[in-house]
Amino acid sequence: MRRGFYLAVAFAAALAATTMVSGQRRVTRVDDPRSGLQGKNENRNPADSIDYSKLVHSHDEMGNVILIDTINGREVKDTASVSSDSTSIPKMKYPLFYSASASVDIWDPVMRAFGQHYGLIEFSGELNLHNRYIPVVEIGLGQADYTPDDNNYTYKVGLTPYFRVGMNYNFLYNSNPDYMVFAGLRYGWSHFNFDVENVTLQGGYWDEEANFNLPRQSVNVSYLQVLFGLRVKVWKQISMGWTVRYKTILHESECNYGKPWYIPGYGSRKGAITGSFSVTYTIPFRHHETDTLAAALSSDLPQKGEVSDAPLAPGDTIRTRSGIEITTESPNN
Amino acid sequence: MALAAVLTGLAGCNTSGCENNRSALPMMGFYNIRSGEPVILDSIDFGGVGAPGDSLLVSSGESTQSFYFPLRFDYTSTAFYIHYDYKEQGLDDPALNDTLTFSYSTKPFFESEECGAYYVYHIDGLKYTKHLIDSVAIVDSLITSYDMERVKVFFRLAEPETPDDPNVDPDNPDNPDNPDNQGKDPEAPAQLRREVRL
Repeated sequence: MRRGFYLAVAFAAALAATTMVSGQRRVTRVDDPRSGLQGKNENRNPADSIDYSKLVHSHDEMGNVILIDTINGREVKDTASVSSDSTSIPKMKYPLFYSASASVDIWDPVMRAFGQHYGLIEFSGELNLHNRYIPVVEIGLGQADYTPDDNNYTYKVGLTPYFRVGMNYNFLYNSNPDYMVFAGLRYGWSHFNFDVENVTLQGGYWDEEANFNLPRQSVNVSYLQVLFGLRVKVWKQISMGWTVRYKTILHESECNYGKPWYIPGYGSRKGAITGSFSVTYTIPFRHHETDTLAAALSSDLPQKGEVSDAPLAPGDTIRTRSGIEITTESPNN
Repeated sequence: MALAAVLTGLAGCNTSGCENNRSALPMMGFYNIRSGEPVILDSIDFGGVGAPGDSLLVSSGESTQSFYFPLRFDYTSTAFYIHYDYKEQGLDDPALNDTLTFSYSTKPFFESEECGAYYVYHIDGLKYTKHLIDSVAIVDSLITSYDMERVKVFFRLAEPETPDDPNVDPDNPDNPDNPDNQGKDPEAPAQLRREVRL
């Protein structure tokens, strides 16, 4: 009987305890002994922090920080200091207004020495944008005075200016600007007069002879050239290069007495391929100071293999070939 | 030396030959008025009226279907005659000669570096007799160096008469008497007959 009473009390107590737990859940915070070490480098010294003001660095065109290894002169982009938006590969390595050039085309003078009967001289001006897009203006003088040995006329075009405008695209735009491989387009225009004189007709079935001149004809011609070319720096600011050009006439005014054979700037009507061989003088524009420094460092430091592998000690000074001194400082400074 | 050769070749590469005639030469062709097919005549003389030495452009004995007939560039008209040398048919009579007279204007013209300059002609009119000529067609009145037939002369032609052969099937496609084959063999010299139009 007493045992039954004790069992009933125990059951009631257990039931009451279960009811209290289900009605009020408690979560007790337990401190992790490791939490005090998280995010902390126990081996870190105050001198381990990177002091960017004491590093040799510059900025590129995109505003990225370029760290310069003072041992081997190698440049490394500081990717930790740039935002995620600017981590893409820069499209333009060279500034917008990079250089300007003036050229003389000696193709026609050379070809005339080898028997060509037309053409005189041509000059061109270029503006180099990002070392990639190169607008071009070409101005030349054309002339022809030709009496073929096996024909019956003399063809003459007086000294006539001609013009072309267009653009080159440099495929090596992010490479060394001393070398260019480019394609381009030109739109050319020429207004000129031509004469066909001393035409002789003789013999034939009727045994008649005639000698006459065609009336002078005035012509407007516009044409298109598609070109491919190379250019290489040969000495200081002098470079040389050639182009091969496909040409086609776009518009030509009507001629009552026959179309012109030679068109100034276009060349001979016959044939679709022509060329040029140019000597170019390039004028570089003044660029940002940091670019100049970076260029000086990258080009003037001793090249790989010329320096000792031993690291520089604090306070050591190295001098570049162009006279720039770089001193390493103690981490404690 | 190699560079010089290449440059010389480039400079001189435009001196290849002229693909057209180096003068404006009209071409004439002979046709059968009945069939409209080209015919070859082997017994005619064709020459220019007043040509030096009475020289001929086509002589009897030559089988001719088409030929060039140059116009005079010092004049505005040029006349040509056709003498029929078909003696067996009684056509060998100067009274039966046909004459064609072309009137035209000339213009100096520069064609190209290779072909040079010459006169081009624009035919303004044509007069011709009709002894054996039925009609004349001018395909293109502008005469340039482009090589094409500009004038078509249609003759009244009598087909060759052959005796009937009882052993020959008249319906045989190879039989020349088959009406389907008449006038379709331009290689066979035609016989002229003066026909009177009704």
